[in-house]
Amino acid sequence: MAVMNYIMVFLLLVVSGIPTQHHKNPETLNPDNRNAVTGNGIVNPASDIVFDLRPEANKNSLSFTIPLKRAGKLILMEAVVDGISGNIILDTGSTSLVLNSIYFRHGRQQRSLVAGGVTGNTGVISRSHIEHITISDLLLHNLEADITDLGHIETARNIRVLGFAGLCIFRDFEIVIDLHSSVMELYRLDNRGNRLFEPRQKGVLDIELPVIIESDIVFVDAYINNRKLTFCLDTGAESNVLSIHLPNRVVNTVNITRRANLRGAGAQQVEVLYGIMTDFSIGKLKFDGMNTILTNLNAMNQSYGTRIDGMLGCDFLEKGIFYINMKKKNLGIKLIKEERK
Amino acid sequence: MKKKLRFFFLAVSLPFASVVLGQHAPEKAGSIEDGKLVLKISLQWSVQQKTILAELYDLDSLLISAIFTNNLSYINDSTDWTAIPGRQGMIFLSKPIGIQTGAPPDRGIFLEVPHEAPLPPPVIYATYGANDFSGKNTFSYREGLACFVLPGYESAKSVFLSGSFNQWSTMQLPMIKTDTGWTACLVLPPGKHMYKYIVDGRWMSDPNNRKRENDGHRGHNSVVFCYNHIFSLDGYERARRVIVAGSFNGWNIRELEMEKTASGWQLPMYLREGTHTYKFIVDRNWITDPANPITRDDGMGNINSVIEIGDTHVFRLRRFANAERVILSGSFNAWNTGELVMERYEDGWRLPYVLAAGNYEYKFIVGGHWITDPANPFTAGSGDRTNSFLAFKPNHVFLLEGFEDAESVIVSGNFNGWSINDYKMVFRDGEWIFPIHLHPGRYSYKFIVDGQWILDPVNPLWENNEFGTGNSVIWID
Repeated sequence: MAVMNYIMVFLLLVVSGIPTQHHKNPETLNPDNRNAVTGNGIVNPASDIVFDLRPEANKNSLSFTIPLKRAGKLILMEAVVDGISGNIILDTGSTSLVLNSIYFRHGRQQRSLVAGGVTGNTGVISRSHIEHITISDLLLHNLEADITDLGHIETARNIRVLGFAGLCIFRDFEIVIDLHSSVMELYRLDNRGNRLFEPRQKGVLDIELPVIIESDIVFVDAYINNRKLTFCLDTGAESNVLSIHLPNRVVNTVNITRRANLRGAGAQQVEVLYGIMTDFSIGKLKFDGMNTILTNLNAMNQSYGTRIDGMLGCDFLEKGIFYINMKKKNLGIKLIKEERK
Repeated sequence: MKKKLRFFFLAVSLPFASVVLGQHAPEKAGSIEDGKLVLKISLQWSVQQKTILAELYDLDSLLISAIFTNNLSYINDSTDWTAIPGRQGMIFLSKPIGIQTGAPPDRGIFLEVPHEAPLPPPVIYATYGANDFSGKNTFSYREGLACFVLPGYESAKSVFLSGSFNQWSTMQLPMIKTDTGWTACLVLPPGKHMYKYIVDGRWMSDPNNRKRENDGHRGHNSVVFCYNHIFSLDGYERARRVIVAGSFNGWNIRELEMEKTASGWQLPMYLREGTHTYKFIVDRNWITDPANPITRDDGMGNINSVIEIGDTHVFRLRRFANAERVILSGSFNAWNTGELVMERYEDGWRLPYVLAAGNYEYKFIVGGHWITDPANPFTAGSGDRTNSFLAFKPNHVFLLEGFEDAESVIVSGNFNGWSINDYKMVFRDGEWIFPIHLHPGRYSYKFIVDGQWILDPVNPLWENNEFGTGNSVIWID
């Protein structure tokens, strides 16, 4: 989808007021599902079939391949959440699973979790227990989800959004995100973080580096003009984001192209600058010409509890294949051909 | 030597020139210093450059006029910008960048959105189209049932069919394994559809389909037309080439080549609902379709074959028997005031007209006077600009029960720009109704009962709005 000429709208998704450690460890697998993977557990094709849970492919499966969909640059996974089917946004910047109150209204209300924020959303966030989430062959059980109103994202994208999920729901897996092929692979890990199943062909990575994992969010060190900076990997951001309060020698490497006031769901506005990064590298890998927006990230830093200098969004993830291992706390990157120098 | 020197001078001065020019271009006016946006502006900029500056940096006309009239006190006193005069007709404008109003964001999903309006539903409309499969028997369409076949991939564990027809669902439509590959059949309406296969979780376009379109993410979607018309021409076995050309493809004389059959020529095609004219070109000779008795003069003496696809709506106007003639004019014919002459019929006038499903506005022209349809209670617009409103083959009816004492009930939503005048609902059998045709997608709406905005009381789906009062939500599949 062409995103030229688009203006950015800073939309809510206020997760931050939510304490980060509240969710249960997702018990991803059902020990009773011991059926072999046959590929034949398929139902008769018809345009209006009811979704079949395909329970044959689960606990025993050591890897899953999940087709991804894109709405704008956002990354979507099709899912069935307690019988309701729709799309879940893969949001690596989120500490929890957050579901849309339009479809999940029966949570326990928690008054302390009021989403204020730029978006003007003043809905009370509640919390709910979810029995099952099915994402392609992957079946997740017993999850806690925060419930908030995500109607503005549906409106902006004209797509049914059940919610968004951070990497917390994939903790037991190495996560391989390949936006070039619109696919995500999950490899089950042992306690030491080694894959229990290795595909025959595993390509050579261009870089593998240690990262910090906090509240299931990946923080990675990068360099701009020789200055070490901390970024979080955030697929909930379509563009990369850089703090405007970084030293001049850092922000001056960005060619500013325009300014805009972005409107959220409500009447509030946030002011951002658009630019192109001319100097950005992770380890030995240089990334040229990445789009970024610059804005005030102070409040976001407070909510993460960690100082971050920026976010690496979908624009960045389109540069290659990303291997995230939260048990080994490392990140591998394999550049797609056209990015490789 | 002289040449070399000149060259050297040029090489040295060029980058310098570009730096100087660069500083004076509004595209390069911006930089960041200590968390502030700083704009270096030259007072000599042309009107065009001023416009670029205003657009890129979202500066209003008052500010622009203050800058270029050197009215720095206005800028410093009345705006959130700080202006400092520079040397050589320059002005430095700066302001801190950050949150303007409201609480700061805790964490946001950053979306790139065109304007502030919702994206329109993905447009998969086509006026016409024919398929181009390289493999035989990889697609068939009979009596509304479309069957897709993917040969091979015997070792795959699963294959799914995903396309515009199932909102690109990756989970709803598994294909069935056969001796030679994978197959899936589903009921599809005539028209253009896009699809891909998902083989063991990985997307791929149909390798046997030559018709494809860019998917916007470096790949391709396969395109298939479920046809609703077969052009056929008996005989002409000795012809080398037969082309069908018509109003649907701008009378293109090369595009649509017919296929030779045992007894003649044929081409299965999708044609959008409505009225089309066409001819066959048999080795450069234009002929009308001998099997089609319906022809029409195009007004310039050319006789074309006519095909009408879809259902007919009969427009009727009772009385006005004394009128000399009555013209039908509407959004379906670009408000043409002479084309659709109505026929006299019993005590009034009538005109059967083939329409595609959709919403239309229209009026009658009786003796030069525009009138709304007295028999149709549904209208759009207000005052002098009221037209009759026709939802042909509506796929949704807005309903509000009760409120029998209300004087006016309006349904307003993002499908009509939240108009407070449209659409006026009509009270019938204890409820207010408004039938409408909506493209697939998500819509938000509310009812306005005598000026009061209310949610749809029977719709459980609603979302918050900026007023904290909520909007009802519907999905049209």
